[in-house]
Amino acid sequence: MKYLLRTILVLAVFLGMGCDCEGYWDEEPEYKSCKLTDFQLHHLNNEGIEPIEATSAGIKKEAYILRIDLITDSLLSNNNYSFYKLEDGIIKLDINTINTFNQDYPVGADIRPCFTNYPGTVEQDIGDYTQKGDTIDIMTGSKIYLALRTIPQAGLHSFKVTLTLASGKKIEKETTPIVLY
Amino acid sequence: MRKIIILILFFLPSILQAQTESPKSIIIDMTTGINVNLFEPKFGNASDCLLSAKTISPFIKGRFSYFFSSRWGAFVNLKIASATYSGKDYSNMIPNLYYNLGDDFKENNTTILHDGSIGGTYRIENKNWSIRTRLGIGIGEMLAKSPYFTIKEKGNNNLYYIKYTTGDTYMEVDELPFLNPGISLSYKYDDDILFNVDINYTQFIQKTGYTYYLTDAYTQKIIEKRKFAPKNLSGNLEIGLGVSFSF
Repeated sequence: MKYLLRTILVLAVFLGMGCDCEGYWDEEPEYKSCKLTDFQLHHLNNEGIEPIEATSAGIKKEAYILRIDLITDSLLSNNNYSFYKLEDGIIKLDINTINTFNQDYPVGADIRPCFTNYPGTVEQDIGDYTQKGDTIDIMTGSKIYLALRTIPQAGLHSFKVTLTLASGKKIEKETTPIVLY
Repeated sequence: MRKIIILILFFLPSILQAQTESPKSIIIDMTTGINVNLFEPKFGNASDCLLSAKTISPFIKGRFSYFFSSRWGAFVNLKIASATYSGKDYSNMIPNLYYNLGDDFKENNTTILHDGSIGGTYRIENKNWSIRTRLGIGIGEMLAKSPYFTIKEKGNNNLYYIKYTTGDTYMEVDELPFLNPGISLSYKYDDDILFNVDINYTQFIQKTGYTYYLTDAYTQKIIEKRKFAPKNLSGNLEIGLGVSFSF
């Protein structure tokens, strides 16, 4: 009788563990739907320990970061980005130069390859996955930090950013001119 | 110096030439005490970030000894000791041209280390007092540091990762072989119970190798990789008090 009770107890514990754990990690979170309504472009100066908003004096060309702030119809707070998903995700992010970038990139050239996702830890960061063929839709952050990795010629620069959504809709914006020295 | 200590510990009972009477063939020791980490690694030109300070931590251990004759026997020893990653200021290792954006050292985290050994033991008894010496060989765990830094070059976007691994992979502890001489001074409380003072020295006989990686954070390409090892071997000194049961 004692052994029977012990066996039943052990089986109950194991079955209980199985029920609790099954599917727990695989569960897809429930996303709230949101729409991309607009975006903003910011020039950041990354000469120091972290990127800061540029001043009118310009930025050292080796320390330039372009920040794209995604604006949606839902208020995203710092702690719940992962529960929001864009209804119409971003499938392409183009950057074209409005001025001559350097000898290899004349006016109008696609300079997206000159930028790379900034790998440092920055506030509200969301990577540009479109370079790998993925879609930006789950809002793990709302700011795309793109570090300039190809050195432009010194002078006044501005860029045109185009976001292409899965539906085919395009949203374009131009940066204000900035001196890169 | 270490060799002399080992020889003294092992042959002390023979030197004392005490008397033996009605010895028991099995002794089970339970000991607790302090473990002093004597390792002060010297890396030559390698980074200071792998240096550690001497630490003192508690341990418990159990030992089973079987005596084939009145004096000679064999033992199996198992030990559990806590160990703490010693605090060290790593700010000096980041060159002036870089910012330290973040690091991962597990500083002051405490972990549990295990070791086990087997060997020969020699005892000598005189009335209620006895001395047992041992020389064992075993495998023991040692704290392995794997610090990780993200550094940013001042004045531009360049970002790098600095990573140290134990051997070629990330490990929190490394397993190394050791030699383990020791001595126990025992007082027989009654026929089956002894109280002991236990002293052991663990001399690791292999060094922990490290690998340094400098990686470009954008491309994940390894820019620099080099291997190195400390110039000296590590060791621990244990001092404990315990109780033994003899059969």
